[in-house]
Amino acid sequence: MARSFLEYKTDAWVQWCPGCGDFGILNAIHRALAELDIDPRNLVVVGGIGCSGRTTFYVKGSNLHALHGRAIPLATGVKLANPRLKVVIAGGDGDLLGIGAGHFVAVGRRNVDITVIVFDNAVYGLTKGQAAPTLPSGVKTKALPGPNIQDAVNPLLLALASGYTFIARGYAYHTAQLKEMIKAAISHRGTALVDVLQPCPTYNNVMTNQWYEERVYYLEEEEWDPVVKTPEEYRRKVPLIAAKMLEWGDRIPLGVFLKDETKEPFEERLERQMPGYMDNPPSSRPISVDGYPLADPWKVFEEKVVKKVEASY
Amino acid sequence: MVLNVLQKRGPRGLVAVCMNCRYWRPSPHYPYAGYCILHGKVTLEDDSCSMHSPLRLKRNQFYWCSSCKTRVSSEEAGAHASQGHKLYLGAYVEKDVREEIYDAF
Amino acid sequence: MVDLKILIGGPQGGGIESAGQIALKAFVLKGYHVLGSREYQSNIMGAHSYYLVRVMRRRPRALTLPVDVLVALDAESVLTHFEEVRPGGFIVYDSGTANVKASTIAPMAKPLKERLSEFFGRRGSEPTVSEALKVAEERGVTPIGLPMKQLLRRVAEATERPLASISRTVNIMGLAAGLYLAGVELEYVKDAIVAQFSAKPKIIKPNVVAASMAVEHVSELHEGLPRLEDGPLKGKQLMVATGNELVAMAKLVGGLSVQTYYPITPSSDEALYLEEHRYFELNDVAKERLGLEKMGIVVLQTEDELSAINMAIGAALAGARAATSTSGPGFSLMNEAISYAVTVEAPILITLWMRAGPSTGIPTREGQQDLLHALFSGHGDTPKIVVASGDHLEAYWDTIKALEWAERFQTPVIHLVDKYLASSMISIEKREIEPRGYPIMRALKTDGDLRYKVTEDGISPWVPLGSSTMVITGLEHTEDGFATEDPVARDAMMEKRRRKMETIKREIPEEERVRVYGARDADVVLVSWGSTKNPILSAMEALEGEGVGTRFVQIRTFFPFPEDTVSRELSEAKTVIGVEQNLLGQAAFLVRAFTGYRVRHMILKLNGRPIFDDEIVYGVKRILETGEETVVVRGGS
Repeated sequence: MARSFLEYKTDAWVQWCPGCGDFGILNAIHRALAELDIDPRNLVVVGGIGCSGRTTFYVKGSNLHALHGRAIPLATGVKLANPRLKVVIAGGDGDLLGIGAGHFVAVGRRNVDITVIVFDNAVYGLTKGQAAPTLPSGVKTKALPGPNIQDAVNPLLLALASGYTFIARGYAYHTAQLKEMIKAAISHRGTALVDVLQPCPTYNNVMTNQWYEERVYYLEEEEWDPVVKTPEEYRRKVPLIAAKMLEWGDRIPLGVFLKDETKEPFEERLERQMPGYMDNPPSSRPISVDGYPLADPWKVFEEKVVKKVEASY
Repeated sequence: MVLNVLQKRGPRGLVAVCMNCRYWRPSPHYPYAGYCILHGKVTLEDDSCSMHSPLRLKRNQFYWCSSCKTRVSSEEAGAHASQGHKLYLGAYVEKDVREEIYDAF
Repeated sequence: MVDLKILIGGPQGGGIESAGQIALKAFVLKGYHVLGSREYQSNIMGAHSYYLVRVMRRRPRALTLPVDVLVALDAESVLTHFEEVRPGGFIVYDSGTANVKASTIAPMAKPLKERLSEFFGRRGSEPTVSEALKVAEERGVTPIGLPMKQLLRRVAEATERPLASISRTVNIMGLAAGLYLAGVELEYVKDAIVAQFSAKPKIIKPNVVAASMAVEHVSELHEGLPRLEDGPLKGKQLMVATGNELVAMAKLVGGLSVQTYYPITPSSDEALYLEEHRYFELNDVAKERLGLEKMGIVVLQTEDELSAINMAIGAALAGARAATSTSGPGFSLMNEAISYAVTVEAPILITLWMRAGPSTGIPTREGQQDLLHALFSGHGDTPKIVVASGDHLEAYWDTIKALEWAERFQTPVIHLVDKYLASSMISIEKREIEPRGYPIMRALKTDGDLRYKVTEDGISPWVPLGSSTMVITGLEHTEDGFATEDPVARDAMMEKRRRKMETIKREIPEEERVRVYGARDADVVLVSWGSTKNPILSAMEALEGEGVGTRFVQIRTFFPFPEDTVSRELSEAKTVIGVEQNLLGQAAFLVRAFTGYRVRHMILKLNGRPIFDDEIVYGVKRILETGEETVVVRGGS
């Protein structure tokens, strides 16, 4: 192993509350990156707004901290410009599934080679514990004046419907398993989701560490095979996968639900449309030669030039 | 009831022409010309041929009201016809029409 | 002096676009400069739309009414435009529509129907095509009826096959008849048809036959205007392109590598045109030097404008030359990200095609209502560059410059262009868009690796994502990019932002930021911006002929504002008149904000139609005569 996980830590003060699940996720990210031996200069961690978005400052990389809800498009822009970079999004369920839900869907449709890690604690921490999109209805945390009146979205099913080609769910304090999921997600070529369940000890007094530990189990225990290699296999497996994703309550499955190898990542689609894109990506391609443009407008836009055409009719 | 009967003077009530034939679809823009789906060609509203089949008002059907430039269901079509509107089973949208219209919202 | 004006009206989708293009091409082949404009509704098919074409020996500067020839392909076109033809002019109409009543035309706007009823009611008649033609005739206009259906039959008979296209036969017949009456020989119409449909050889022949038949029919009825002599550009190749297309061309020429967009009028056509050419062939020098044949631009349609701008910012921060393109409603959604781009110092270009608001407004019509919106976009103090182009070629060159400015100053540049420029088209000579005198180069400062270093000129070293470990955040930050709330660090960054604006002001020369036209000693000074430029220049000539000397201050950048020139020019003037297409007089408002000078008179146009030169002439004279504060002009259908 070439690097220690310590090499991915920064000197910024990690300012989360004691007992926050984010610590577990951060640890898993550090270790996954070290085991994958990713050069921090080629790593872009794009954080959302919220507690989890601070991850941007705690992982050594060439990082970007987005506006609330916009981590996905911002990260997509980075990836389009420089497809060689490893791009990992770290955002909360409020950021990615509430204000940014449109982008959460769109990135799956493109299958951009990006990893989306949802820090899923079901509450808005930095604004004092309001219900987030994954808080089930009827749940009354102590931060809420009454039981949650809105239903929860299922991040896994939304990702499945949107075309994500890698979908996993982990638990924040099972760092060994979570690390493996993050490694697999980053290594996957296409849009990958790792939904990480986590307690928020300050605001979510219902879905606590104990609450989760009593319910979670791993798909591997049931000999689950998430890999899909052909469209036929996808059609056959997808109802089983969806059913598994719906399971919630007394038993909550964790693990890799889907690894779809049938779809071309977006970068390859662009390369196919415009051969040379990967070798001369937008971030580094020349824009001129000695100050002269690469193309002559009169030639490239010739169809706009009015000229007499000889034609027999 | 046969639709779009020409109000021509003469002994015949129905002049069997394209405009009252069920195979004919007028241009939405210039409805005196249209497309015959049977022969697969553009004809004019007062052209005719031996394959003519009268266009009748039926239930559970949509019609293109060429006078109103809109689509109406058979429930409303009778009222349109009685006002002298021209009704057809569809309109003929030319395949290159995209090149003639604009970015508009 | 040749100054021909032709209006071609008909239902949207009914061949108006190709008729307009063929008209422009015919005149270009004849050796003239052209200006054309599409006016259309927010509709896909069936609503009334029209093309306005003006032809001169030099490039026409403005549209104007009345026209010499109206080609009305349907009844609605006659009833909409019959008063817009000059005495001695012609109306070509479908004689089969003579009895059509306005009340039976479903797509016609209710207010217009009411106005027509009132107008014809006063004459004791009803609004029908034939009554409208009578009115025109009384004013010295000659109606020329074309029996369209019968002519269609004759075209089919002559070509011995069914018609290839209905719309594209009717339109050509109307157009060919109109051009004949305007003095254009059939030969040029034929050449223009061939040029237009070179990719669709099947419809060339029937169209040529249709044109000949229509001309044959018309020439028996009237000889039309005197035959048009060859223009000064005969034999020379000209390009005809819209503002949308020219901006797309400039982005490609200017080295853009990523463009994002969400569909919205009137900006989508720019992105679509760029997308059509996204994988372009290099010139010979580039081929040889780079060893490549082609290069690509990533043009991506996003899920919304939030995504469009954030994606462009992400691409820019990774090192791409990035832009997005939108219109008012989309720009509203982009506001938060403008503020972000200022803070993270992202070099991006936002092309803002203004249309008539507020809200959804009239999406396909002209307006200049987004100046203040652009300038004050983004929360917090968000200095950025705002540049407004006055005409098509300015829009082209400003795009190239804006791409460079964005990089040089590491800041968002908002490029304001109006809908009139988007969908109007001009003839262009090759040299006018040939890259010359303006080198295309990356302009990112690379003298260090401290991304947000506090510097004298406010510009920090550029460090793209992926080149070193770093953090970029919309939070206030220290020089290394890490978030901070420290008051001293905050002040240092705020001061740096101020110094950057001063640098921008210093480095973008005043003559780039404002242009002044006309006589120094003129009594009247017009202040304006955007696409009113050429109509104003045209009006100035006319006013000069009437003994009214004018000067024109065209404000081009509003941030940084050209205070010195504007202040000097206005304070010396006797009468200052603002010309704008918005309610408030937004530029005049800014003149006052930046210079303290109050513009006392305004000529405003608010009806969603582009301003005509004669309206400006009228407005200036009216203000001089009456001293009125505001004259609202109302031309166009």
